[in-house]
Amino acid sequence: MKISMQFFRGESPFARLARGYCSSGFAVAGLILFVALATLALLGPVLAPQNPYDLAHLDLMDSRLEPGRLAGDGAMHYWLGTDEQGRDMLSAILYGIRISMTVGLVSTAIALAIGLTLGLLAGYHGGKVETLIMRIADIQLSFPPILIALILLALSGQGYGKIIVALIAVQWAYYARTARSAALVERKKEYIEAATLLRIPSHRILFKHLLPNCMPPLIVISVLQIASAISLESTLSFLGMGLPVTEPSLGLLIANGFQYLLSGKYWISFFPGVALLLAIVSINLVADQLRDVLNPRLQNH
Amino acid sequence: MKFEHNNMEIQATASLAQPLLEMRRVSKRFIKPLDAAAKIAKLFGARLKEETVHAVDGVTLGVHAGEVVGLIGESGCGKSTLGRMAVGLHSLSDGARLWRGEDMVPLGRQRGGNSPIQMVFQDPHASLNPRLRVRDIVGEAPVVHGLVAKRQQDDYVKSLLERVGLPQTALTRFPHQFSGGQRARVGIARALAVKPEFLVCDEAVAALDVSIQAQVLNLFMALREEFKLTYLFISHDLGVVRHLADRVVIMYLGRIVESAPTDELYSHPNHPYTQGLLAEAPTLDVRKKTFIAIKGELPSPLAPPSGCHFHPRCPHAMARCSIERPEFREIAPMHFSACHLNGN
Amino acid sequence: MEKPVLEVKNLTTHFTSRAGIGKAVNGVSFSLKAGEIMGLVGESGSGKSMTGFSIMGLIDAPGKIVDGSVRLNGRELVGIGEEQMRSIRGNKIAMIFQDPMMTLNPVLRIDTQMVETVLAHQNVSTAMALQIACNALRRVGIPSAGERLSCYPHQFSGGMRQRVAIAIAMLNNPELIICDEPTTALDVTIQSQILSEMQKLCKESGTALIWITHDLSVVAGLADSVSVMYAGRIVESGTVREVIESPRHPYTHGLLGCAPSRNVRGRPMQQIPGMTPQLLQLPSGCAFRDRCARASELCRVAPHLVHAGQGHEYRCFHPMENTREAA
Repeated sequence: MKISMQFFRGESPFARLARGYCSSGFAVAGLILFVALATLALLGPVLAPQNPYDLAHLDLMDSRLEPGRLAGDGAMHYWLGTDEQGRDMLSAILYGIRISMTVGLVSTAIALAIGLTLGLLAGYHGGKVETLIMRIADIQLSFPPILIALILLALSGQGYGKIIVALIAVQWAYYARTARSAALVERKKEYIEAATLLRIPSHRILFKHLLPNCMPPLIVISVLQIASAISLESTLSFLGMGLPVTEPSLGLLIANGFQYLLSGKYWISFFPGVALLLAIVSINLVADQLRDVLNPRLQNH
Repeated sequence: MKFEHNNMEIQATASLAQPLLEMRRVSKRFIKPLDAAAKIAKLFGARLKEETVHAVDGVTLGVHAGEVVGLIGESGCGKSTLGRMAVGLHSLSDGARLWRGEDMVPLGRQRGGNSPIQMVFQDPHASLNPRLRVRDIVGEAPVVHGLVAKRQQDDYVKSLLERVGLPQTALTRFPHQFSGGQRARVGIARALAVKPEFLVCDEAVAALDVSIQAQVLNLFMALREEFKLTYLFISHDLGVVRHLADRVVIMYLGRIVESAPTDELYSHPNHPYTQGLLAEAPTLDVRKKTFIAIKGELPSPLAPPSGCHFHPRCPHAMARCSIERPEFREIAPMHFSACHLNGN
Repeated sequence: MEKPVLEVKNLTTHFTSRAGIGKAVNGVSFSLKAGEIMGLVGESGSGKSMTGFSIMGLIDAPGKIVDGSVRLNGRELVGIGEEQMRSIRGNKIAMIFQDPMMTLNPVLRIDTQMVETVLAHQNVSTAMALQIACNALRRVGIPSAGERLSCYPHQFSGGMRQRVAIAIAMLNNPELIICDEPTTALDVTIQSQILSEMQKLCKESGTALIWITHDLSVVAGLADSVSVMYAGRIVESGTVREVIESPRHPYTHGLLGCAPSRNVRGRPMQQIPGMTPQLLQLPSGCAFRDRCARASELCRVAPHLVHAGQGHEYRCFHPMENTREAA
């Protein structure tokens, strides 16, 4: 057993988090990468040399060109090549990142909100409320996520909104379970007893006292889940059950180019794959460091 | 207000005036229910019983206005549970909780802003919400209940901080930025913010350094004068209680075994457990001590000994002690004890 | 003159952080003879626990022993390296912590843990080790020691666990045991039992004991000598009788005055104003001067050690009167 001491007293919880986070080079790199990708995603339509889904801009004669080639009419360079429809891969990837990230972030955010609320209610009130919510969560967690998603999409059909709903349905149970565990621990602490004794209304205790103190593990999980959601969505699109061709995510792009991989036209799958990899790796790096930083701090008041 | 029948416990508390807070023959049992698997096993004949912890067993305690009652006992004796029952955080399995002679409505169903009974907690780390600034920790409840307008919250909190000896700069800080003693003061300020009449202090100074403890105890005494407060001071520290309390109550395994005015208890302890406690407490006497220990350990509250709970460890135990629960009787003016040694 | 078992000279442990250097242990010196019980008294932040950890070599980055020497029976311990320190820990020096679960592994049975400790330092058979373990448990007063050996830590109560921790500490007949607030979290009755066990054990085995605590009354009954620490320095030391009956340093005097038994019922207690300074913001010179009623300009310089006879030493320019002389 080794001993060390904590000295820092005069900073807000956020400053302490930031300082702890930045202590790892990898984590900072991951964060920068993520922010860069998010920026690209945001500015996609502006940055992209071409709108790859506007048929008017496509030239079938330019299909399956290698990276770096000039367009037939000389208007632009295809820096990452083109696919079988003549779409510029760079533009397609920029649009694709945009869609993948949006789907990932939106579904995670909504699933977090739902799961967190249900989990806190379950943990705080206990009894029948807890049993009901947790049993439903347990049942759901016992199915493989992709199976649930496929079933839901088969029933509802494809579409942007429908995929998000499917991803939410798959994810909420993780948050509920974690929130409930955290609530069970925090509920017993004296500051909650004090709040109860001061007769602060239940809903206020739940959201102003309990929630902020249950957030750390949930922050870590939700960041990881963004990556997981993006990955799941890519898988679904790859299988053809995900987003439609008019709004392709990275997964669909990979799927499209799959058939050409072995015939030498690697760029149609490869570059979207790299983009997906970078997105997921950056998110994982961020989540990893957040987990390290958030956990011991909490015990270190 | 004397009672006809031999109900010494009630008599003990209803002597001169009506007590401010009275716990009348209260008990608290924590039952761990059998889960589904155990229920099924029971159907098949397995001898499984629900586990019941008798945390508090038939206790009567009254505290008069302006009094400081010290409640002493060791861990597992039920004093913290009794304290939480007194404030309403725990429901009563049996008995009644009376405020000025009238039944108190349970915490969840109270209406109105003021909570006349508040609690100061033990652990300065866990008793403050680490995510809130002091202004909200102290100021939230009075604002929520309408005691203070939202825009006056900061001023109100500042006046409280001054009263408990904290600097004004503490307003915007988080708990982790304070030392243990300062956090204890924030906890006191929070309790005072809702203008209580009665404070239950649950080991409020136990976690503090000796020099800080002295400061906080002086604070308690000063606040008692200023705000006309009544205290139920729960502690395991005999020295602290001796200094602060008017009357001392000793608990053992869920029951009150002795109760007397402070000077009387410390000079003439009656119950063998009290005698043992007083003999064992380390003092600043430098003559090398042979520590006379009460033998044995606190029995498990799941299976308390029959009759007098203390008999397995009592140096004077008789046959009767394992069969019959001793009566809590007055053995000297205002001095009550539950021991068969005091006669029939 | 009997050679001391432990000799600590000018021990200094610093903790470096971005905000500065914290001098947790700042030039601590004392010595211990065989069988002697020394109380190391201080409040939180005084450095008493850090002193104990420094002696055991348990200080890890960002902390470091930067100066001083610790000699166990003449052998230097500072800087000898982890390998050698490991052969000494649990063997020649043992430590008992406030939380017995810092010694006990919750997933291993007691006999497994104890046998492991014995076999790590003694060349005996497993059966012999088991016997040693059983005897140790008996010595600390655990009933039905033989059966209790096969129990897990969670099957013991708090007081029992601490006794098991003490038994483990005594297994290899150490020359020195360092106890870091072992009874602070325990009830008075259990504390009493453990104190009487420790007294007996030390007398029987001649083990030296450092009892780290914030409670002077425990030290009064148990220890032979006492050292009072404040902000990393020993401010007063001497026999228990000398220090408690005639404290010279204002901090010791104040600490004694805070004890409820030294105060009149109903009147405000004597108190030491202010708080322990933060280690990173120690005032220059005497660290106590901001809280001391007797402080003067002189105190801006760190006070030197004054010898008051009979082993009583203190660091103060304005000591309290010697009440024992007057008496």
